[in-house]
Amino acid sequence: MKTLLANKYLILLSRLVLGFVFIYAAVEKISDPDSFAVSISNYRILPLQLVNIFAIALPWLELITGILLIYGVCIKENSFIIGSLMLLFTVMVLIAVLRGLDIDCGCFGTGDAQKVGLKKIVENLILIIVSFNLFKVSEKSTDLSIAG
Amino acid sequence: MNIKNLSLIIVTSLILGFLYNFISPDGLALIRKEMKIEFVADSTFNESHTGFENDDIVIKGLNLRQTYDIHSKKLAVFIDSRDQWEYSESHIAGAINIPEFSFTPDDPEVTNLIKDEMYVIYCDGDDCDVSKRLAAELMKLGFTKVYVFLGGIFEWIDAGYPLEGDISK
Repeated sequence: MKTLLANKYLILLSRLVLGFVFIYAAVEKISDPDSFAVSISNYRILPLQLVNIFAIALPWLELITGILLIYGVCIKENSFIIGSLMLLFTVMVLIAVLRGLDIDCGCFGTGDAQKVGLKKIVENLILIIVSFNLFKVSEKSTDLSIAG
Repeated sequence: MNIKNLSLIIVTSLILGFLYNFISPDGLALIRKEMKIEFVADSTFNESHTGFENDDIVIKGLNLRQTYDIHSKKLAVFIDSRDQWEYSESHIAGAINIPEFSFTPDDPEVTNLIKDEMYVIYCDGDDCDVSKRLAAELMKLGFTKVYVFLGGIFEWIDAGYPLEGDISK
């Protein structure tokens, strides 16, 4: 099992999946920052004054980590950032669900209009597990570029 | 894990984000302004208002009864702020469509509007924001009687009020 999780093709696949998901999510948000800011404020968690700062910064963190992950640069650091972001997003979705908010998750900007809910949480948990595994196994070897 | 690399990635992303925001035409203000919503008393219908208080945007909100009243007396032009596909499916009878996502002040659809006429803007319902944002855009251009029907098309459909569009045929 351990060797399977550290299999270089599985790692490559994990990097590509996480990388592309994050790049796609980032591009959608960067192209329409105001809608993303509205999505953040709909969660009613952050104070209004901080909403735009997050809407400006967060998509670029997603974009850069996504690109670096695909290119295999600093995999450990990037999978740590991605995992942490996913954890943060999941907690936000969970709070929204528990509060009974019926809002768009804003996960991929307004490109898809996915609602917050159990499905979203499960999707997020899968991505968290993938990034956690990537974080764990990339410890042993720092060079996990596509060439392997 | 290398903390130096981690910080470098985060700091670089933040710098790029703020730099892009600064040069982008869609860039956001760093501090988000509050949109206040004030429900309108029946007696103040049709009164002019600027839509701004200090620096905050003030949206004048209408409830279902007031909106229906205005609609049946034809006191205002109704504007559907959703996209054209949603609009063509179904909209409040007589409403015109100005999608907020593609709003540009020099669009003929906007420049043809008379600034001191009364407008009622709506979108889906309580949750959507495009009606409020379109109202703010129009008020910035100097429109003086802009109102938002906060219940939106959902409340209108629930009440069984007149609709137009492909679905309602």
